[in-house]
Amino acid sequence: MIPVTRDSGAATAPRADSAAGGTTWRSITPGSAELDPRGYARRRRLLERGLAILVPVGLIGLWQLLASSGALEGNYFPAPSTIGSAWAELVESGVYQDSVVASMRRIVIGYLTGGLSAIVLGLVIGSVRLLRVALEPMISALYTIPKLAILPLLLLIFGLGETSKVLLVALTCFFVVLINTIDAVVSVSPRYGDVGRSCGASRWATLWHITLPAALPQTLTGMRLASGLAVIVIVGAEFVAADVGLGFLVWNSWNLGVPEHMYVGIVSISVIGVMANMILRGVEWLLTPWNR
Amino acid sequence: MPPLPLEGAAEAGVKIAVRAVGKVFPSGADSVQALADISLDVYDGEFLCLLGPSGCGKTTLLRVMAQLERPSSGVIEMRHDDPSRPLSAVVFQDYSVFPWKTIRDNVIFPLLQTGMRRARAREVADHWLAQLDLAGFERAYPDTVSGGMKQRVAIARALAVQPELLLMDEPLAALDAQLRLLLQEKLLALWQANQNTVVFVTHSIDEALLLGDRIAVMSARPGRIATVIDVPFERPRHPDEIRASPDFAALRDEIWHRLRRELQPA
Repeated sequence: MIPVTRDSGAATAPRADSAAGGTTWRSITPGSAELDPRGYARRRRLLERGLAILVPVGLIGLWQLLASSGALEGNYFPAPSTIGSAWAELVESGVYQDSVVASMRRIVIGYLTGGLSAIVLGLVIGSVRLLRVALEPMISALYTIPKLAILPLLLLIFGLGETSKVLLVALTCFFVVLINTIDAVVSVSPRYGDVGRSCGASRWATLWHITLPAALPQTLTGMRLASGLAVIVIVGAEFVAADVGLGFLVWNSWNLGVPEHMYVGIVSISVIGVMANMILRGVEWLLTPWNR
Repeated sequence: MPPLPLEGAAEAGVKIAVRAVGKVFPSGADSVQALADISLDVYDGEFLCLLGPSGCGKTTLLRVMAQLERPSSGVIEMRHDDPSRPLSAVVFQDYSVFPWKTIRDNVIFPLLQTGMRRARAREVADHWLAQLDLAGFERAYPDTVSGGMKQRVAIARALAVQPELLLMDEPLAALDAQLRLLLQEKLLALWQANQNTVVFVTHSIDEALLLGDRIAVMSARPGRIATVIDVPFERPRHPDEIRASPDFAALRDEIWHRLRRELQPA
């Protein structure tokens, strides 16, 4: 073993040492991020924002180029410019607005009734052990059923009207949010419950001051998942059981052989999904200030 | 309150009478004997430390006193003198401050449970936060401040309801050594000003000697009271003087040798 000391050679003349023994020195110095942290962060942000916008724009540009040069079959992949003008036509005729409003109405009503009732029930089921034991197996069983599979049943019971479609969205959201809420409540650290009990908190105070806020982040994650599923399921339902809506627009355009209208529908659906996600992230930001 | 069943219990000034308390936790097919035949008196206005190695059941004993657990055998009698004040408040080890409430709202929470109006609760909370040097942080969320400050919030939350009995479960164990010294001084000053009855669980001999009037040394598996030591230091105490005194070193050695015997298998 070489004793770890700091005498003579090494400390006084390290460079000379390196020349003699073939040792190399590695110097660690501040880089551009350290020398100009503000400027570096600004350039970095600019680059990231730019990439997030330029990459999709570039891809669409490439698509346009390929389509107009004839490399892409126009009947399957119409050029973005063709889709754009079809979009304008649909807006002008009012068909587009009707489709969006119809779909959004079903999504929003179904989502809110299903999601909010699931939060209330989830908080109760999660906090009362006997209720949880009694209901959990059934909830898991119902959760696994693909909700589109019960659409025919809903149509049979409620007919072709709005009820069946709104109910389908509500059921879809209900089970996702319910399972997430129950799980969130169960995993609240028992220590917080101890604090409540040692302060003599009532059942209601415990639910409001401890269980609800402690479970809120995961519950809101469930709400965000549910919003995506709501969009998916309403499009499916509108394919087969609607005469207005974005899903109907896509399906009908296939029947009529107008591919650019299909694309208008598809893009609109994805925009709704993205917007819902953004809104819900905003809600999370507002409701859970301690997690900011 | 019925008269206490066992000898010596009728003694005046007894705040908590622990009589032959045992606690068994079922664990699978087995069971773990956490406490066995614990008998102990806690007197009015005293600062009692429960000292012992980890796993000796000292936290379990405290949780039984806090009515968070029930004993498997025996009985604990606690005298509640003033119905307008809560009998006890607990300071937990850590992770007990609600991260979703601001520091002020954390202290307000137990006050609201006693039926106090929000406006009044807010004044009381701010008073105790100032006592624990947290003025100016009322609106901050706990996760944005240091561990030492979070633990001071937990202490303020317990003191704010002005309990007759303060139960503290290793409140300083999660803090680094320097912060710990500072908070020990703070606790000492607060106790000297308020004179609550305190039961304080710790595994630190120094802490027990510095803070306690008496130290109940516990042994492990099953948890029993090995011995009760009277701490001879006068009040008011000055931490630095006490740590420097020869009595302190002698007592610490004595307790350490006793604990060491408990820790080493024969």
